[in-house]
Amino acid sequence: MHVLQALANGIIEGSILALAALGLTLVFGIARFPNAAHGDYLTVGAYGTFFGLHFLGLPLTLAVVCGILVTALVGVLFYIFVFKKLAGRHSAVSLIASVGIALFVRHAVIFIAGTDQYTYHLPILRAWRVGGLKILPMDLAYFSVSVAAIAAVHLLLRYTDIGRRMRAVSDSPQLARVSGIRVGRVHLAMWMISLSLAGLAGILLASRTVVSPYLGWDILLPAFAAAILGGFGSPYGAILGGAVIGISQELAVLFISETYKVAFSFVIIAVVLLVRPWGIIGRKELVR
Amino acid sequence: MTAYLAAMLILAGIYCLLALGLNLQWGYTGLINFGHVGFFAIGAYTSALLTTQLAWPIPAGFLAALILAGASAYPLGLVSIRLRTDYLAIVTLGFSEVVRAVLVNERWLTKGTQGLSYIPRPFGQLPTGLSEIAYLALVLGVSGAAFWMVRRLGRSPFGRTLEAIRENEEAAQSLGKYVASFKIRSFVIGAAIAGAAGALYAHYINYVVPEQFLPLVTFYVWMAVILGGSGSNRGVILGTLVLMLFLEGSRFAKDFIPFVSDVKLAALRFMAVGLGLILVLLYRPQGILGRKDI
Repeated sequence: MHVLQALANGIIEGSILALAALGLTLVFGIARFPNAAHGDYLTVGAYGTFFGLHFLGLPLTLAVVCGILVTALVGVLFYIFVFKKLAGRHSAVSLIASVGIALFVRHAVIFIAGTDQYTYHLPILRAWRVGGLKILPMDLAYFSVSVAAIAAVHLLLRYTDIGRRMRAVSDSPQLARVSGIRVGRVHLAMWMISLSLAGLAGILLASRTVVSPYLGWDILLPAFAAAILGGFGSPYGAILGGAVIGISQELAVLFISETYKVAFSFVIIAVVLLVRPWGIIGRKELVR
Repeated sequence: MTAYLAAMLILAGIYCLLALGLNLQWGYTGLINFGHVGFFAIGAYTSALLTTQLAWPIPAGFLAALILAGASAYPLGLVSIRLRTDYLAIVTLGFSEVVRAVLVNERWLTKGTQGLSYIPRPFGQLPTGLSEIAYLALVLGVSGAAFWMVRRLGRSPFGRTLEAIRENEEAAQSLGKYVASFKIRSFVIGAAIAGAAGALYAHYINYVVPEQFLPLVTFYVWMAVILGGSGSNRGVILGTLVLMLFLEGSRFAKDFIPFVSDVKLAALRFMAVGLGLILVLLYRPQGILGRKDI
């Protein structure tokens, strides 16, 4: 029974992780660097929604939109003023700059909101009992929201014009450019999507736990693990990786201490890189 | 005042060691190590455990710290060094967090969050003041040795190969250089230097707790290296001193801005470090004394 319960928790956890990993992998696929600030963008989303709920008095849905908009705004500013200018340089420079952004954003959050933890004060609903399993109705809601967001990204990538262009740039920036695609616009669109996903993931994560300054940074490594397991740069890989890591992490906690969760992600990254660095469905040329 | 100055210089010397290790890895070889603090922690705990639990002499503990920190880098290098350097960044970041999780969890060995105390300090029997100065001389001696070694390494055929790899990996490979082996050796030596810094730190502070080894330490060192100039040993030492001056100086800022709380002031300091890192990368990528563009 514990196992089934852990499985249920893992599916919900995994769906949120998939959102975070999807955002990371989009940046890696198109801008070609691992964005270490991604975790802290999640935190911005969580705080943005808290701000909307408790200071602007917005209803929940609008507060969620507020959180996502704040995240997108912050992230796009950093794209325009930092990553765009570093685009011609080695990808390592963008990676190191993203660490600077991570530090800056996290401590800006602490500067504004302090180190206290907050909650959204969402309605507390009684857990449903399904054959001995405890399922919180709110968890189901979170799960549906993540699945809807993932489906939206899938439709966007697969069937819209900008989605096709994004895939083209991801496959080959040079070919995309010579075929007349405006690569700058594709980057901007990609960042908007990645940041919206980050904001949403942060909000969902905070709804399940609390709003705190280290919320996003703490999930950065599992998100990297998910993206790498799926194949860094591959959107569908990230979704798959998120689900696998979310579930196996919850199962692992049955046997190991909670504080070793981070070690679990590390072991997965190490094993994948040793055995199959391009992940489950990634492309080999992005690895080297 | 002398004691304060000595304490600051000792810490600065330890940070210089960390920066020299990272400079070998990043400045010379182009490896991104985001887990420097993990090797620092391994060095600190190794020497602390051996000298307190097994009553090893301090030099032996120091040597063991150096070796173990270097050895722990080797498997990480094997996992990721053949891939894009971004992967090494992720792996090392994860590694340093795992090291911290182990330090917190394995209470039988590390006493968890309580940490290890009563770590002996060399020259501890000397009168206060003199003991600090003797320790400062030791730290400066070790940093000086590391400086000399990294510089010699950098000018040797080994170092020139590292720079060739950083500039153009394919070209280095086509000249018959076994790129992965060079990278791993550079990575291991850099980690061993961080381990030595850890041992010096533990024996100076006299106690170690996992809290001292947050990822923030790694990023301070990065800031020092980027600010001073990647690839220039004199540069990274200058960068470290500037950073230490800033971090220490901003502690006194409280006297001038009384209406900002301690938490906010600390947050402001970190924001400044993050912003500084971004600005240097954008507008002066070679740092203060760096030799060329990164």
